[in-house]
Amino acid sequence: MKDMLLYLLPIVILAVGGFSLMLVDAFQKEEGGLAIPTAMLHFASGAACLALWNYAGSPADLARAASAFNGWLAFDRTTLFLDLIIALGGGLASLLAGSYLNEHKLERGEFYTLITFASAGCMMLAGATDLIMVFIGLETMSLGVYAMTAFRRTNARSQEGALKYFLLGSFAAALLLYGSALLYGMTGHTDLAGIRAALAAPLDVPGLAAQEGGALALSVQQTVRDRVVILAMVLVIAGLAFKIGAVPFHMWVPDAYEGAPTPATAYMAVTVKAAAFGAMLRVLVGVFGDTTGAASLAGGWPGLLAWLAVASMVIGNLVALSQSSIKRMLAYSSIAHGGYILAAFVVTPRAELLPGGEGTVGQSAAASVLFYLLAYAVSNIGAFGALMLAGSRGKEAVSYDDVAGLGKRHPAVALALSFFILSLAGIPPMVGFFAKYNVIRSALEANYTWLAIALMVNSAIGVYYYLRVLVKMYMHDPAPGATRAEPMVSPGIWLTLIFTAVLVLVMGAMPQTFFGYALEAVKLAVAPVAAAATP
Amino acid sequence: MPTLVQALSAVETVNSVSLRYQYGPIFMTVGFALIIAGAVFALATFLGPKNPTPEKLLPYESGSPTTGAKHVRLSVKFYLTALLFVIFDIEAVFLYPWASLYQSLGWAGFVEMIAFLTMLTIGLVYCWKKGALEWET
Amino acid sequence: MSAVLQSLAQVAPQVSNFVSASPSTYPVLGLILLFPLIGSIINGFWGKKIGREGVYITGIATVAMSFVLSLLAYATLYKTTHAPVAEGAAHGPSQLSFLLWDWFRAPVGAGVVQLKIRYVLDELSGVMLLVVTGVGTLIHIYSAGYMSHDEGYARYFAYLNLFMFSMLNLILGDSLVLLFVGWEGVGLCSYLLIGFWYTNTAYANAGRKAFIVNRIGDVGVILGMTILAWKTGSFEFAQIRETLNVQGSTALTALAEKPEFNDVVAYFLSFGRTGLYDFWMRVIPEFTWGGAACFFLFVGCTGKSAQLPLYVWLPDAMAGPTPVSALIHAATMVTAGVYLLCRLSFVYVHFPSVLALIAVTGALTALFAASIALVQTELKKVLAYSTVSQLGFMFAACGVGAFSAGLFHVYTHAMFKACLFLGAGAVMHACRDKQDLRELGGLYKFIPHTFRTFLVATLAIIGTPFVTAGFYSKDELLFRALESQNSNHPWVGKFVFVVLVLAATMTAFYMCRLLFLTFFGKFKGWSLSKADYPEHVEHAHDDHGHDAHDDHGHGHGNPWDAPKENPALMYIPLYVLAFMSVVGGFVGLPYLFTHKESVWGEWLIRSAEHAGKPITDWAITMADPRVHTAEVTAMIAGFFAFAVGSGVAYWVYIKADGAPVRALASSARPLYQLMVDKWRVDELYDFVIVRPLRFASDVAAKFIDRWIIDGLVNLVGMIPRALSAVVRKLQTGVVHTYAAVMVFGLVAMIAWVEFRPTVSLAATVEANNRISLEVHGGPGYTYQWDPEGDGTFAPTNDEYTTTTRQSTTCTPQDTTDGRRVCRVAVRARNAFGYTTTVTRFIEVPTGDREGR
Repeated sequence: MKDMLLYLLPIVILAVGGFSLMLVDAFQKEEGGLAIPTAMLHFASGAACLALWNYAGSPADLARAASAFNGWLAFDRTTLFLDLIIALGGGLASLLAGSYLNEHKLERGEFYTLITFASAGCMMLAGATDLIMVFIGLETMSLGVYAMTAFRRTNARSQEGALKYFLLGSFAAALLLYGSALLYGMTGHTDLAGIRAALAAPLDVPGLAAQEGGALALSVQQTVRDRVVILAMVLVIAGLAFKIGAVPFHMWVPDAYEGAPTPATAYMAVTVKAAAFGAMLRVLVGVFGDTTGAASLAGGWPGLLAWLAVASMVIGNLVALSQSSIKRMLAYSSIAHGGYILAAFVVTPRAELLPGGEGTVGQSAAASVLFYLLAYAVSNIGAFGALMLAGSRGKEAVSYDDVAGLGKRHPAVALALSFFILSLAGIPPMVGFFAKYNVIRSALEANYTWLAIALMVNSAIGVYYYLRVLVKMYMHDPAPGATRAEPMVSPGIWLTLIFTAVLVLVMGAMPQTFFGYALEAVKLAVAPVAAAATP
Repeated sequence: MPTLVQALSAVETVNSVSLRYQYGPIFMTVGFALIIAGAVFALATFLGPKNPTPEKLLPYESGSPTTGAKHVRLSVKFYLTALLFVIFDIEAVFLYPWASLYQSLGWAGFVEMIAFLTMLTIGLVYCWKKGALEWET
Repeated sequence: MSAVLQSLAQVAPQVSNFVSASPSTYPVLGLILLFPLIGSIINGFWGKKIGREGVYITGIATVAMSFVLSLLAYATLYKTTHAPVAEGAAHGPSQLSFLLWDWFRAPVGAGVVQLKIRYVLDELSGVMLLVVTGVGTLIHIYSAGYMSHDEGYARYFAYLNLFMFSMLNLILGDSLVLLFVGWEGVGLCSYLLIGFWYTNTAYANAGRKAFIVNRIGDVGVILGMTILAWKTGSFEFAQIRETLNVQGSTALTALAEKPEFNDVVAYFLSFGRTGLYDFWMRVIPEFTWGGAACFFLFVGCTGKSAQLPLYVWLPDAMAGPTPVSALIHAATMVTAGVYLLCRLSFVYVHFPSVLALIAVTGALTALFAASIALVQTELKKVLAYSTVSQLGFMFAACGVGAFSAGLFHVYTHAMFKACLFLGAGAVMHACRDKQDLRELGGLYKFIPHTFRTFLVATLAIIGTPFVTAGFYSKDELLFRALESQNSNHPWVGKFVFVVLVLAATMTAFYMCRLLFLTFFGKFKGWSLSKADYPEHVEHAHDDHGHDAHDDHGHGHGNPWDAPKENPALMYIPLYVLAFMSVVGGFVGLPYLFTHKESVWGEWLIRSAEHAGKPITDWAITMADPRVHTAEVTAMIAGFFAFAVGSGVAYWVYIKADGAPVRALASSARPLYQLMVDKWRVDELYDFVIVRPLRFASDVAAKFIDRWIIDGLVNLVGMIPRALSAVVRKLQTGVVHTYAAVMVFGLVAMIAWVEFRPTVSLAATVEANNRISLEVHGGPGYTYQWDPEGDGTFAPTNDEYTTTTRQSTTCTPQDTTDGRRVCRVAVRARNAFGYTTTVTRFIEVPTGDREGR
């Protein structure tokens, strides 16, 4: 029990903190003032992740934790790494929200409670090793995010986006639940380890083989089980791909991203993605990817995801090309980024050993996924933050024209925004470059040359629309007579921008170090997140 | 590759052993239901005599014409109350199995239920303070 | 993550190591870089806050600290390299290095290498380091005076400090990648500083021109770098050198290989035609990987160091503030190309044809630019073309294999050319930004300090015998050129010698002309009589000389005031540089005088140990009488160039007061005009490259934008619309469309897993043609095996097993290209009854044929 509390510390801090925020919000006389406490809660949770890092250093540690959790949650460095991304995203997003909501007269305490509970849900999802836990985490996360999307109550777009997100999200959750139910039905287990063990063994019904016609019946049932399991796998993929915003489950993304208040958009893009990818790593690799401990294609999910990856990149990028709103462009490009991450994800079941102690190809790929998530979190929150700072209540900066001449009007914001844009575009020495570089390397190491080429072509397309922001900022003047977006004054956003900008540069300067942490995180995991080497 | 007939018969032979795989009858029931319902509709449509007049096509053949929108706006308070009811209703329902198993769950069960109730209480306090329980505002 | 703290703890001892640093961990190098960076950050972000004085102090102090630390580092390097060596070792450690951190792992060739952020100080970078930080410090001091009236002083110093940081990266970086980072950094700073007064369109365009021309060169650098690293398996200079210095090493062989027709570069260059490929092979000497790498890197150098044909940006770059011209476009950045050649001399010596190309390019540039400088009328333009010409000298020296002579000229040139440029800046500062030679004159009376230093520097650049640095460096490279023997093209040395002597003569002429027209004769800038300015008496202070180049508003007194000497802040650096222009040359006294290797040559001799492949350089035996003859010849030729050039100039401009030039200009009008118009190269480029390119891009923009991009965008817009149009037939409301897409996607995914069984087949080759196979499908997959590759699947054609592993002894077949492969196949059936067959050809070692 004591152990469990320790292992749960990142989540417990957020959950208890969330309830406290509710009470404070209920009893305080005036609205507001909750942004800093919320951010502190998230950062405390992140600090807990850092502090616990060395508690997950050996198989013995993990075994102790596993027995405490009874197979519901994984306590390992993969979880901690993802939790850290979530805590970072949540904390920075609430810092942004403190200024944004005030400026736009949206300041109500619920937002902070929602974001805190959603973060707790994200962490549950990221660490879940049981299908029921996956569902609980997913729903805790989603409910908060739906409500945050609808937070601009008087704005029709916000309502529309939230409703679409909610309806389709329920649909996707139903798919996930249906898949989970089928898996349970076929194996009798909801915990991932149990499902994996059941699937690895041939079907056996006690006493059946001895009966007349029993052998045939058994073989039929085996066939039925195999088919249903594959279908269940596709359903689970669909449910999680929705949260990632992968094509063809991406339709809600632009509406929800555009409708949500900008801090919520930044939050959704980053943390929900991290959590959903975490769950996908555990479920797909843990159950289907690594049943033999060697390279496996597991009913074809890598091929399936490779197509999803390419479709996401292509559609995300092509549609982002034609956007006139930067916020919408970032939304579509988030689909494309999801595609890039999926490209590394595809490689995770490969067990060939890499030289230089980098583990297997699969482990390197899983580390690329984590590294990309971190890099994307930092760059994306920074980009949204800079965009937020560039406009105020009178006129928000959302379109390309709104940032025209920003380089002269507000050089500091423009500089910060260019860092993040360059990073998102994947231009060295920003961290985004190394994130893409790792993914491409992983794809090439596993001989997915076509996937790597697709990724490179798509990043080239991406560079086009990202650089348009820079061109607008530095080389264009605002159209005469156009209402100018006036930058707002906000220490909270400044703090976020400086923090993320420094991270973007530092991680770009020493990518090897951070990739090393990610690699450490995937090498020792409770439910495998990448193929280990064959002994 | 065994055929469907083989499969179904095989399923029948093992009915007594494995409860987990006896979906055959369910599928058959569903199938019959669909066939019968469909057949009834089809028969009525194709065989029934038709003699439509404008009067007959009105929603209420002999009523007065309807006025206004068909949707009635209900106050959001109804929904709120309904939601709160569902939440606390489920709390009550959840307490029954816990109470009946109280002995075997031991201290851990007690602590967990207290935690659960605390959370709900915080929620109730929150609703109260935020004015969700007041009908007139 | 707490490992972050651990790594912090690892840094702490390094800081305490500072005093007792070892050659392999010498943190001073990091500090040398850090100071300018700090200065740049402070000036960039808080420049306005700390005020003018603060900016000056920050800017100068940081660079001066770098210089002091550079001296310390240099002394340490000297001590280390001259320390008594251990028994048996050839020599002690010849470099100091400082590893900052591991950057990232990059695939190179077949392997993966760790890219490090590491700085190295050796003999070569040591010399450059002193030049850059030394001259840099002086110019920073000078700038404080020069920019005293400009509003953008903070921005200026931030850029200048950033430039120092980038330049130091370029010099001290121990790998091609780090060098390239610095290379790009200095390019960026140069661009920013050329366009410093960006509100002036012409200046901004000059900046853009420099930027674009340099990008052309950068493509070359990237290509060269990539090929070199790919073929040698490393980015690090020391490692590449080590591999190349071994006779017959694999890297050397790889570099000497000719690209196959199908290799990317060759295929690209021959447009996919074998005929053209054969033609190139015949025509281009050394069409090898190494040759290509050297060539492409040289292309990069022509961009950065303003050589034919990419020199055009440098004269325009004079739009920037004059100290910038002195520092970046004369003394340091433009010599980066020479530095790169010297740095990679161990590669270049293996490719004499490329060296010949470099030598000829350099010599022709020297002559060509000198001829333009003869007739230019703007002070800074003359100096700019003079710089291009002098850079040509350096390239010619490198091209004939005399890398140390080239570097020697870099060093002396940095001194006197910086002095000249700063002197020109001082003239303009004193004369209200006038710089037209026809409007100056007689200035020696008004600005005596500037005059004295300018005179000394001019004497240095024209190679006044025996006393100036310019004489020794020019003599050295003329002599090396004369006695060099290019193994592929023996004529190169003599050719270069003749052309350079000619160029040196021109240099003497145009520099004396510059000196005479500026400082001698009568002052023609404006009337020095108060009576000529009756209307300006009241508001004299509003009048500024805005007609000339630098329109940043230097403060001036009354319009009739004579030019005034500048503050000490500006002329003290001039004296230092002038002093160095004289005595700086004594480190390179020729063999002829001293009968031993010069200090310079001795210092650099270790960087020149290129195994068995000396072309002409340091390894020559000085006692050889023919060498003696060559040295005497070179010296006489140098003296002749000096005497003729300056003599003619004296006759034309002092004795005859420019009359012969006027006569020449009227009698040979077209030629004269052509030279004034700089041989119309800019117009030629405009006609041949810029306009067709603009035309093509216009067409492309119209076509691609209208048809392809717009079409694509429209198409993309159309797909959801078409889809939703279809879906709307059935139901209304866009959410339904979304859900429908999800359902379609789901159905497609299910179809994929059902109809497309996918398996992976892993094979391990063991001894004696034994192969272990392992197949992976997924739940419900069953398999048939054909491990012998004969087309019969086991167990039978209808039966499938759950066996996922097979072990077999195969009978290898020979392929046409001499490999031996085994064919194996597996047929997999998924749970839905669909099958797929995977056939693999597995290569087995050829050695097994004998082993069996």
